[in-house]
Amino acid sequence: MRNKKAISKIQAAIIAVIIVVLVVGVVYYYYSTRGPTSIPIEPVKIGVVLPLTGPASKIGREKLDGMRLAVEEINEKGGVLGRPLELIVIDDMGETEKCLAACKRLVEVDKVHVMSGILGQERAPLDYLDEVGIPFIGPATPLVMVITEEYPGTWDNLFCFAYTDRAVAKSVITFAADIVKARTLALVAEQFGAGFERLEKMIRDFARERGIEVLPTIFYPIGCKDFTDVLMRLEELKPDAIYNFVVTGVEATYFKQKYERGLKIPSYVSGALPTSWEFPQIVGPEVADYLCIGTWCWNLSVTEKTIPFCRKFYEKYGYHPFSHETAAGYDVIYFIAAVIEKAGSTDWNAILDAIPKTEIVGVRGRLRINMRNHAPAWLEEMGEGYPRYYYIRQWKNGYPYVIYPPEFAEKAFELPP
Amino acid sequence: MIGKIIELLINGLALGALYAIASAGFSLIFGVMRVLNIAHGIFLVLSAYLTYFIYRCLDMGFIEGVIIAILSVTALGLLTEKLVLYPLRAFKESLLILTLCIGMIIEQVIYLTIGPVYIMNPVLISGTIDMYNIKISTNRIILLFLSIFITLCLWAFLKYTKMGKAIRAIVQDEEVAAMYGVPVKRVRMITMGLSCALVSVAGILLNSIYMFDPSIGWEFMGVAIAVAIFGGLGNVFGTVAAGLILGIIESFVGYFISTNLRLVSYFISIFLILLIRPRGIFGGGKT
Amino acid sequence: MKILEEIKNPFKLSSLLLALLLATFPFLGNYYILDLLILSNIYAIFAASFDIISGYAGQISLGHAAYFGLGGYFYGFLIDWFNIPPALSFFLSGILVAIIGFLVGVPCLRLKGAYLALGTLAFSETVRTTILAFPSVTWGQEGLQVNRMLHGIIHNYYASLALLLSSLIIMHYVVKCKLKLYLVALRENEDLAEAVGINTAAYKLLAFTISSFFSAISGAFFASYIGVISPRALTISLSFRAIVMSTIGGIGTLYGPIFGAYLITFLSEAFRPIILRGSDIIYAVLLIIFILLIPKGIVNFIQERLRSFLKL
Repeated sequence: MRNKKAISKIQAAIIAVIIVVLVVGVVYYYYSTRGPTSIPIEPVKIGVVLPLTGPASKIGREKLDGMRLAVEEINEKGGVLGRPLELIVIDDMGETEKCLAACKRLVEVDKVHVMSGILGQERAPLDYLDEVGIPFIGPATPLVMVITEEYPGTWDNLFCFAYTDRAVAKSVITFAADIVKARTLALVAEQFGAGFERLEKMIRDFARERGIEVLPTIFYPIGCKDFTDVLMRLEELKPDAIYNFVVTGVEATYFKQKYERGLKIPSYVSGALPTSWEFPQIVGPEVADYLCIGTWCWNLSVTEKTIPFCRKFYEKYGYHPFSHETAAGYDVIYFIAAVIEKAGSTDWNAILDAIPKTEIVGVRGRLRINMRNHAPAWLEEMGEGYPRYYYIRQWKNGYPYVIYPPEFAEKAFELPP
Repeated sequence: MIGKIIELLINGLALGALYAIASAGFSLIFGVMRVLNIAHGIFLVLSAYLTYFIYRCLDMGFIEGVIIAILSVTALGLLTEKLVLYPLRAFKESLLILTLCIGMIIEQVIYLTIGPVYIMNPVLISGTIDMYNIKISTNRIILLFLSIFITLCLWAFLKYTKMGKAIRAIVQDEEVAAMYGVPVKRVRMITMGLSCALVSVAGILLNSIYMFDPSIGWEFMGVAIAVAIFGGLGNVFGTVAAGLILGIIESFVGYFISTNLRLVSYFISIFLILLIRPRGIFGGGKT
Repeated sequence: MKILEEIKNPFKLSSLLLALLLATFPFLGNYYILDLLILSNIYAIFAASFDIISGYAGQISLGHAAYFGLGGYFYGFLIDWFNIPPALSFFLSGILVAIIGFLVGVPCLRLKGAYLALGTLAFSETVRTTILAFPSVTWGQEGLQVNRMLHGIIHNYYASLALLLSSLIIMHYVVKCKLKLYLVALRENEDLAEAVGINTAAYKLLAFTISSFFSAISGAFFASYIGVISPRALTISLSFRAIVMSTIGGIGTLYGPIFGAYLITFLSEAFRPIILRGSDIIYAVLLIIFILLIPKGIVNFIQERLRSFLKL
């Protein structure tokens, strides 16, 4: 039977330790965010909220890497308005409430001058940023574009660098009609809520113009482990081409099971994991081969910045910036820097005035913000609004070769044997 | 039509067999030690990540990776049993939460060391078997046979060996078994080691058809719980059978009803079982 | 009245005063701290309602996040489908989920220990996967956009504080004054309670119903504040957080979980710069330390020490 006093001493000691740790933590936290910075010149601060852990972590990390490279380059050349550029990053782990709290923290405590990041489809953090009035230019955030198109004037200070559903739909139909010369197209989509509706409608509209029959969409839930029934249905329908709409990362499982099953119908994916350099390493090169992806063109000089960006990115991070995310992060920081230079100060209203007037040369093309939908207007689009940066590639032997547009094609489209 | 049904049956069995192996360990641990090891799902994911780490980052062969992963997870399980589960066996419900915490810590350690990487086994076996209108990937068939083999070994072990009988005795009634001279402490260790070995094999096999990410340990934990309750907690044979049945149900629901309802069918099944036969569909579940 | 008698107890009085003190925070104008306080208030109600089931009645419920999330979803559905004004939807969602809690409690009557824990967990996962399986109705993983009850962070703060206080008073009165004896008897030795003539089934169901009502209320307020409710509000992680808050704060008291909620919310924000990834590890480590050393939670511990100290 333990002595009551003995228990209380040990427990009291533990309590004391915990209290000390708490106090230290709070004090550290307080000083780390309010204390005077050691840099005599106050840097221009950009607040970034991205999911760095959790299901969307890959996208978040790649964006952040692009942003950091841009910040490094800008600071080497003297910064913005003579001041160094600084990124303050908070990981929101993909959860809305953490995103909201992070935004508030960046605006109130860290007192950033511009906000960026925010991947998600949630309105709450965006509503908060709109309420506060801080300029926000996100590297993706298609919700800004969608809301501004439908309800103009809702968010006056929010902008994004998203690509339009129209661009994706065009690339899907180009794949089906021009590359595969398909007559029927199947859509396999992940159930992520209502995100696919707009895209699906546009795909069907464009398909009708080109005389392609689009079969009813096959949906699968997030976290689906076994795609046998999806694949079986595809075998019954026998489409000439398949388009996969993916948001989270299950496509590796789908393609591996598709390969194992011997289903060889040409497939096209426009984003997420299959467009990343890691894809053949994760699923194996045999699985990745012959899959067509829509992504940008890092190995061609779209602008004078494209090739140097890719080289420096690979040198700094050790992986290739194949996916859209890296380029988006890089371009958005350069855009913000250009806007601040044009505004001449870090005052929010000056920045907001300067946004419509700024035009930059990004790695994907020259762009300015289209004030109608607060998204980028890419100058020099290739005929009929086909986005200059949406090239169709095909994986072969672990490398994605350009197969469309024909002027830049490195290889011809190949069917799996 | 018959061809389709056979395909769905075999694919469902293959997947269900893997779930069965993963859950058998969970059921066994509950039977012998009366503790719900919520960290079981994380062990599954951990073994896949260790394999990846060894054959990808340390550049050793895949088979070496598998062997080292299985041994490591088993060792980790034995360590848990020795340091946590046995000394603290008086804390009945709190032990459940402790295992949950241990699971979370392991998951975060994976995040911090290997990182939030997606992993998948390399393609070792390719090709399909395509005859009589039935198309099944060779990989699945091999998974199915491996799982059946492992299950048969487990069955033989539990039924015929001395240690297996000791385990079954303790599952039935620990006090009486102890009175009859069954070495409880040693049996507990062996049970834990066996369960962890089983779940790590299941993890590596699952990784060949499904891509992992450190946080899906909880999904698999949910599935293992579903299967174990369906078959009867503590009833290893029931759990294995339950795994096969649930796998087949999932397969058929997915094709004939809707792919969306695959996951729902699992949890609705156990909800129904808890309502109708809480001891599991084959009975024999222990409190 | 009994309420006034209980409030005279110094410990409880001081916590009420603390709450009133918190009401002066808006004048600091710091939206960030306000946001943390609002979240703390929401989680405080959630943790307190969890404590009713687990701390008082001794029924382990691993799936409490289901009621939280369902509260939010029903709030959204009632507004969208039936055009019910937000404030009314708020209370109605609580009542609807309370009915669900009752219905869930019925089969749980015959489950004990491990089965109860797993059964509640199964319920939580069933709800979550069902929501994901019908995205045309529930918008799936993306989350359902809901109308806000109140706009402006200061309004939300005062509302959350008022909600916390009123929930606390109701829970205090109902649980501590009326039900306490029965629930504690249920927790300590169910068979004995049955033998003595207490209708354990009725009290268990009552505990389930009340607990789920307040969880739903906190979930609905959460949805209203954030503007979106998604299946991420129904994960095991949230249930785990409730367990952490009540175990560390103090089980079997209502004030313990409230203290725990504030502590955990502010702690995880404070530790964020130090541990960028894997901040959940804090919960796990703290919980282990507490279960082993201070199993009843801080509030109980301090109460015992104070009592023995004051008695000298």
